[in-house]
Amino acid sequence: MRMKRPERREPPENTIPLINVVFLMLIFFLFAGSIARDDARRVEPPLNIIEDETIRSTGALIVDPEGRTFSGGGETTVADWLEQRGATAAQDGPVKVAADGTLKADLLEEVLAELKQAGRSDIVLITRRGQK
Amino acid sequence: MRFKARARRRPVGLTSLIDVIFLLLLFFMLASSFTRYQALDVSSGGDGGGAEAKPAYLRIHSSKAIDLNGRSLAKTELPARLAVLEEDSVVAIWSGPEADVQDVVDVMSAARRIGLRTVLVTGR
Repeated sequence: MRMKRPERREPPENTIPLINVVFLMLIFFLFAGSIARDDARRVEPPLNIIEDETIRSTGALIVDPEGRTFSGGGETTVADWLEQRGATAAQDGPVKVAADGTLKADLLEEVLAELKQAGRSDIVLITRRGQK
Repeated sequence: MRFKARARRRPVGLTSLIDVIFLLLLFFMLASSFTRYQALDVSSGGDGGGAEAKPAYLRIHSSKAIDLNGRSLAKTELPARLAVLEEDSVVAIWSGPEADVQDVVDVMSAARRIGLRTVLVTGR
């Protein structure tokens, strides 16, 4: 006896809604996120209640909770960082400092004093928008 | 003259398109960051102010012990106490060895918000 299987072809899956959703997500991430390098990732900058213009942390001087200073890759001193910065960034804006929120204020003031002694008068501190 | 009927077009494959879009989506999801930073000016405006009104003197001993012109205050009553000061006057901020950067930024932003200027005072 020959059994004949009832042959039923699956209709092809409709992928158009999937593509629509994926497209929407793509557009969301394109506009909402920024792919600039985030140097202040290794510290947690202090929160700030003022709503001001946003700034990128790319190329900032990082001060970790122990008061050590870092730039992009590794640990540096303030003098070295300024020298390197002067060589690379000719059109440099204000000096950006990203300090951890739990850093002792005295240690930050040491870094600021060093920057000021080097003749920089335009120093900004990177903060996060928000409230506790 | 006879025209030959055009061959029927095959539908464009969507799979490769989806592949590329998925790749792009994955890239942007992983590469983008959503933290927003903003700048707080700590250069204290340079010098050359000359004769000015006497600045208000605010000392931060720790996050719980703050005093303004010698009278202690809590962080929550900071805006009210600063609002009494004259518009555009200067607040000199001194921080003790126990104070964090977060405490200083809290005080600075509270003062800036109501139009006061701030100066960081160092003991050195």
